[in-house]
Amino acid sequence: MALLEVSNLGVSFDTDLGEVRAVRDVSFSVNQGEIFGIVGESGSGKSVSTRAILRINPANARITGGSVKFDGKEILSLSEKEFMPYRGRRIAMIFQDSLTALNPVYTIGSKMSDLICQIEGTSRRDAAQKTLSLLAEVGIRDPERCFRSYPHELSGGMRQRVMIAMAVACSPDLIIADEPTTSLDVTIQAQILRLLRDIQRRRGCSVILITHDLGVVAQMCRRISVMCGGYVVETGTAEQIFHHPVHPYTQALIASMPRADREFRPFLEHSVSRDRGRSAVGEKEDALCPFLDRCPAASAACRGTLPRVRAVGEEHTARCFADGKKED
Amino acid sequence: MDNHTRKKILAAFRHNPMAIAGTLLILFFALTALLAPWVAGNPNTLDVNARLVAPCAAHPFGTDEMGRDYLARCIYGGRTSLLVGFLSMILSTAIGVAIGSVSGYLGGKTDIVIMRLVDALLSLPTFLIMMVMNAYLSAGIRNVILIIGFLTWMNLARIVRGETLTLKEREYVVYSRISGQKRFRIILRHILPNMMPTIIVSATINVAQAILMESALSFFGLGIVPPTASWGSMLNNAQNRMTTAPWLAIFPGLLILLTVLSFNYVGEFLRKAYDRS
Amino acid sequence: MKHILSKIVQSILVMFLVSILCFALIKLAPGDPVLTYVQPNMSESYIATLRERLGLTKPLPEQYLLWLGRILHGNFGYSLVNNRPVLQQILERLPATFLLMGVSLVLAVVISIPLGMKCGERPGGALDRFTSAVSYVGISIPNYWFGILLIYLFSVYLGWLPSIGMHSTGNHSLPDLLRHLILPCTVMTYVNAAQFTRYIRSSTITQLSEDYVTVQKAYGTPRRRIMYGNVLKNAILPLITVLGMSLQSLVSGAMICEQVFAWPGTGQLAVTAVTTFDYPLIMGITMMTALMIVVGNLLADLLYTIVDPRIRQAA
Repeated sequence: MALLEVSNLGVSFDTDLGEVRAVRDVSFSVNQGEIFGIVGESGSGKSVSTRAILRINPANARITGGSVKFDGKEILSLSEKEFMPYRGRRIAMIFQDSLTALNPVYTIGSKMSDLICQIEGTSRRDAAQKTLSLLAEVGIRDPERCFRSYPHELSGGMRQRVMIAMAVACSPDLIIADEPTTSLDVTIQAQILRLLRDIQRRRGCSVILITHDLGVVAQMCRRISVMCGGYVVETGTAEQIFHHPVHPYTQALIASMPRADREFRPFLEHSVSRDRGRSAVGEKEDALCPFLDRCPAASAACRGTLPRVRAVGEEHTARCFADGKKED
Repeated sequence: MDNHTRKKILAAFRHNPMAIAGTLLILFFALTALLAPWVAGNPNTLDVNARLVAPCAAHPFGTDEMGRDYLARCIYGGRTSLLVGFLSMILSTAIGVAIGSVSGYLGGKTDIVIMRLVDALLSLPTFLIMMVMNAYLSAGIRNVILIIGFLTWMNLARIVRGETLTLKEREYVVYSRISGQKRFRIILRHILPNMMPTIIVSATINVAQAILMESALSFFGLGIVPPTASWGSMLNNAQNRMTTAPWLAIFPGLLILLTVLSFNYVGEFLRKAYDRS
Repeated sequence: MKHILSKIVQSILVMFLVSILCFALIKLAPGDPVLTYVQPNMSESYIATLRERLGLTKPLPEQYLLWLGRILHGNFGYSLVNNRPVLQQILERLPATFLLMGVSLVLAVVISIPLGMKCGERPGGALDRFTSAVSYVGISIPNYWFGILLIYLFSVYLGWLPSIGMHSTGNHSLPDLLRHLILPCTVMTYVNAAQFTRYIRSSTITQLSEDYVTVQKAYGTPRRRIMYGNVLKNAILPLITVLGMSLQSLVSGAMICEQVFAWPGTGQLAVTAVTTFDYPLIMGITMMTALMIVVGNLLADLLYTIVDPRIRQAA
């Protein structure tokens, strides 16, 4: 059964230049106890859509429509007060840049204990004790020392472990991990991903893993959504996405992955020039397929309307007119 | 500055009524000062029958203790204040940019010595030094400009040096250096143009600072002295007549406040606008 | 430790440069300094020996070193006007200056931190727009003019407060001192608070866009707690540097203020010294003020090192 069900979510930003629609008609669901992947380029709306669930987008962001059901209950319409018990206790978040995500002028221990006190209402002493055991759980060798450290005194990998420890502190049902390994070295990346999977298995919680790295989702997730230009363009199991991609954008993404059995082709090598695409579509561009101007398979239909999301297989959907047959 | 930046700043300007008001006020004061002989009456005409007249239709700003029209005097006083503010700004900006960019670009011992000297100058009580120098040199517009200009360049020099340190590591500057261009030319062609926003913002705010300093000096009877008048020296005169003729103190002070406020606001607006684009 | 030591060495170097500038300032003074000692009945030869005794015939570097040596021993010379030791005169006046500057500085900081944070929390809100207007006027108003307006309004027109000095004649009670302090203190507090509030506001805005704030939001930390338990410490750090850097303008402001309100501090003494061409006194005040600014800057640096763990570790 689905733990989280996002349907037709839209998020806009009010800027000096008018409304910017960052997330449009986005739907996906996350099952109990699974790691669900969201992939896309930067600016594709992955972070904004998941941050909207936790209501932590900047003040000029506005949810324009849709619904978010968590554990069967609609949470988008809850008041800030009603939503409070969800924060940290049911849904937690891991951020990309652990250096800026941790307060530079407080020790790790003091801020983590603060959060535990605040969420669980325990005494400071218990919270400190719990912090130490959490730090040990995420594989930090000297928890006492880490407790007393300031963020800048830890390595990037250590800080990301701290972020994970904070996220699991109050045993949430869902952890949103926003690019948790992007700022790390490759070897540390692997360690952190392994830790994330171990923790998820041990605790039985669900994880949304947001990344632009297809390799990461391939090894971590059972199901994946691909985002482009604020839309979810394709959703399916890892098998379906990697071996039978339907959307030309997904195909281009996969083609851009370096692989041993094939010559490396940079992403969008064969795409149509951006400028030509834009000028041809003009004003209507906003309501059309986000990949249109770069798409090698664009047809007349694509220039007419935005394709609807349709099923192309069991658990497999795509927002494209193409029939899904691979050319080769 | 490229076209794109200029467009963005103009757009931001159009949406900021306060910035427009500030600019218009500056332009208005500057024009009035420039055209003083045509728009104002004679500031030195004495009228013994109309001494210390409160503001009225014939004398919108009233008259002073010698029966001179205070509006005309304020316009001519503004001429001095704006001239001092503007020329001191040019002097201090030129010195600050030159010293800051050279110090930052050359680096090494030169840099260390110059920066410590800047620190030392920034530790001196500027206003006291200005008073002392003013007392040495004869009072007058030229000396006031020189004194303010030579004592207010340090902050800009620091900022320019900092930016030069970053800019000189940029690829195109490194390229010009290894392709054998002269240092002076590199600074002029590749480094300074890239910090125009900083310089413009600082220059705008410097005008405000210079006007404030001149007025304070003149208020203390140094700086601008009779027969020339500036807003500050008019206040010096007005101080003792606060009870009988408060308008003598109110108008020049208000004019200083409005002018300085406009320069500060426009400077701050430019800073934000540049930061955003 | 190394960081702190290098700061101290730098400060000493700066003071050394200050002393050279100070010496040069006096040497550039117009007129023959010996003439200030000369009386009409002195003979040419006596003036020559006097010149020699004052060390004025020695080469400049030697004169400078002699002067510096005396300064380092606390001998700032004697006033040309009343022949009293310069150092003694300055020390007499310092408490008044410290009182005025200290009280207004503390008040400015106490006002500007919560105000700046409230404004930064809701930029563009009613409070922010109001504060912004008031603080723009604060950084633009000529402080002496603001001072004479206050004197006119509260002393002359309303008659509520004394306009000048530090004590009423024969009255050395604390309430009387405080009444005298109100007006000059208002001027200086307003001007300083205006500047500090703007800094705190902008650093609050910067801090609020940091990721750690988003993290706190994600975990449901209440607004107040985010502001005062997380942002505050980060937002006021830059104020320490700003305080150090604005010491120079602070001193100039105090000097003007003291003159307007006839506050018997070093600033007023300085203005008197300048108008009477009392060179030793001018030099003494310049050196002492510069020393205060340099030490203030050094203290700001050290304080920053103590408060900010990032620098503390590097140090």
